[in-house]
Amino acid sequence: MGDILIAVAVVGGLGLVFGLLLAFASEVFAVKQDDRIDKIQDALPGANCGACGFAGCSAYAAAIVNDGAPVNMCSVGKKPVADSIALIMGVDAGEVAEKVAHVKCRGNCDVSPAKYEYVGISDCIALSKLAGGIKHCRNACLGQGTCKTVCQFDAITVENGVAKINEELCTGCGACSRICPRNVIEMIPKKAKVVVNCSNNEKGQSASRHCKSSCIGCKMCEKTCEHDAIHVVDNVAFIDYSKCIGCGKCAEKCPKGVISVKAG
Amino acid sequence: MKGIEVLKRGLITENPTFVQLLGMCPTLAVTTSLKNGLGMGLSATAVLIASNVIISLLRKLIPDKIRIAAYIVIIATAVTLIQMILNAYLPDLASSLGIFIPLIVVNCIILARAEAFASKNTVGKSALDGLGMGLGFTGALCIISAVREILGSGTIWNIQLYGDVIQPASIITLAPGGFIVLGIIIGVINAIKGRHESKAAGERG
Repeated sequence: MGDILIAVAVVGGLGLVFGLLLAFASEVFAVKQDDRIDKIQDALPGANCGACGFAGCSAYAAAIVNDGAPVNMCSVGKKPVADSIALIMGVDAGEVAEKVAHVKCRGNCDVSPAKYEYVGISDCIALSKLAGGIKHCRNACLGQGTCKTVCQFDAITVENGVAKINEELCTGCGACSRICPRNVIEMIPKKAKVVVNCSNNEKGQSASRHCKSSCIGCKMCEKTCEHDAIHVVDNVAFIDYSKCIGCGKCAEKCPKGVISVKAG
Repeated sequence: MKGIEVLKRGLITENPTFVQLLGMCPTLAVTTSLKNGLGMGLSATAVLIASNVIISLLRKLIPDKIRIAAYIVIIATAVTLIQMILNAYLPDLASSLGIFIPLIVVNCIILARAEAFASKNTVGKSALDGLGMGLGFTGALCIISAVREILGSGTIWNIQLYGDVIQPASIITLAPGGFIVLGIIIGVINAIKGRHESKAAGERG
């Protein structure tokens, strides 16, 4: 019993003495922190998704106060969050460029048959390492749903071997786009009306051999566009959304039906 | 044992990093630039001296069975103090060392010296031992970080060395580079030591 009491007394006493010492030291060496950082951190959604380009919500909050980062970079919180941060910082919020994820592939199991039967773990990164992926097209969505796993907002489903984004739920954080081993998910402006649904950069003949709904790089869209907004780069069409007005003429002309006009 | 011997042991013959291979976590993690290496080494030295002195003072008071708990309380206090001081006066260094300052608490050099030396020796010798071991650690970190900064970033103390003429090998500043540099330095030290020993053996024989 005596031993226990001594032990308690010694450790407790040390703790008390050193605790008091630290309490005193924390007063002496106190560092004043800008209380706006805490306020901004409370205003942010706290998803720590990194869409703003900083390590997380707290890093973004510190960057706003210390380095003058723009207040409208949170694509998850959108305008309400930008407004409340602007209020804390006393600046104008400006426009928030809302983004949405878009899967540039329609190569589902019907149009782009599998090379082999895959029975490994359900992960696109693992699958992409196995003989160059399950599909003949080297740019195709692998359909194992790694993007679905990282999505914090349940906005992704995998349908018939291709990821599909629910634009209602998508916050534009870009987590899926960063994890995708095939870089098949692009972050596009939410306002965009016309989208290219393929990223196959093979030449026409082999592209259409590997997938029935593949861009063949025929440049028909490029010739049709009156606004210089769509170009074929590396045998696949790309839309420049700063120029695209959403007329949809390219979609009408596309012989493979790769370009589509979004509803609404 | 004389004071100078205690010092020399920490600095060279029982150097915590190159001979005892203690405290590998900060050794590998913060030695990306000379500034970080020196800052880490000196912070650890300050903690080591403080904890060695306090533990040596209290060595007769602390019962053997709860010594580890008591040491950790003492070391954690010293580390927290150092962290507060760095935050208050050297905020740049504090932010570049980051999590590795609080991690000094679990640096095995400090607990090892408390166990092996401070708990058995007088206050003066313990302070000297802390100084020697701390400077040995600092020196080792400086050597590793200087090599890594020169090869990996092409700078030393943030001063450009060879401009755009040679592309620095940035792998050296990354984690694998830490292992590679540390391994090569220990290899060189062992080779020199081996030559010395065989020479000594040759003279005797």
